[in-house]
Amino acid sequence: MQLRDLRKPRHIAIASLLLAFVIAWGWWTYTVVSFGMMTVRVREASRDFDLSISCPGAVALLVLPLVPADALREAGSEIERAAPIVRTLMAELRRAPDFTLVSVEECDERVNVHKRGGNLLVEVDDGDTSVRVKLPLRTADYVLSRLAAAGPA
Amino acid sequence: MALLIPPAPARRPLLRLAALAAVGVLAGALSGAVAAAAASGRDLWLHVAVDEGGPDGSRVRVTVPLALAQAILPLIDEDEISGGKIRLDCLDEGEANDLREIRALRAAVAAAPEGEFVRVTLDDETALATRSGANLLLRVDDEDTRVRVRVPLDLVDAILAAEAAGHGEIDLAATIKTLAAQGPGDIVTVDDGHDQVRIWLDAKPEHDQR
Repeated sequence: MQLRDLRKPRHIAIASLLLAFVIAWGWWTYTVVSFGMMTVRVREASRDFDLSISCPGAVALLVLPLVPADALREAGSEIERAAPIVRTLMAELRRAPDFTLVSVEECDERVNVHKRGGNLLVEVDDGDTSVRVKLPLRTADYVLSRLAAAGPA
Repeated sequence: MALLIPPAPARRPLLRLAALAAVGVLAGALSGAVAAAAASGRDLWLHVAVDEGGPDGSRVRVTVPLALAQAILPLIDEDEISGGKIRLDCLDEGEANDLREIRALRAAVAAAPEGEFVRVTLDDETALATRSGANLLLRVDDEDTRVRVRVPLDLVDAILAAEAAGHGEIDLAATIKTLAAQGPGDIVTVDDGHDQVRIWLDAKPEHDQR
């Protein structure tokens, strides 16, 4: 009886911890996946330059709370007028199927903006330099909502 | 969108009509005021294609879901466009004169039998205009330019009706309603022999080759 009494609460505690860990891990995995990956890639053929940076969009969840409130407020006030339009744009783009928003070609220069999955892809080519930017729409929406919330009352 | 209209031809009066119609179309497409239009516009795509002539001419394609455009327009708050409406008191004298000329043009076309071209003067430039089905067609041919403009009559009427109502603004809801009701099809096409501009609605997001 004594042993069972001792083990029971310990088992419950361990099981609770494990469950909490699994839930937290599952939530974080879901968040990372749903926020997608931000990617920037720049290539210059003439200089043999190739730079690629990737970062989970969910990092914004961790970074934004660390940004000083004054800086957030200042940034929020700067985008105050455009924020509702951009946020609506993001929301509608997330609902829309994949498509090419803008395509401009002139001589050997090309600019394309695509909506692919939950991402906005920007492609710029000028013959020598190639830039690719992938921006997860959900991440952009989250950042804008935080900036708007921090903006002037 | 002004960047999409070739600067030189846009100064021409007929192209100003096309540009005005295009602004109405694009701004109207941006309106979110009409639920019925929104419902039917949910699956429509607004396309803009600009092709500059010449070997170095640029090629521009813009595609916007009508639903996206409808959602955004009410949020725009500028001097000339606010709350989904274009304020007429912000139009300059030239633009106001354009509206008067478009009204005269519409009246001239309405009085003529369908398919019969009437000669009209737009800003000192002579053009031929006619009704063809539900569209207003304009032609200008001179030594070095060839302009063709096709605009839905309903669209012209919606713009003029709003202006005539005297509210000092064009309610773009009427325009979007007209567009959505018409479904897929050309809205404005301009071909001046060198550059081409085409604005149309389609049920698919891909640009067709034309």
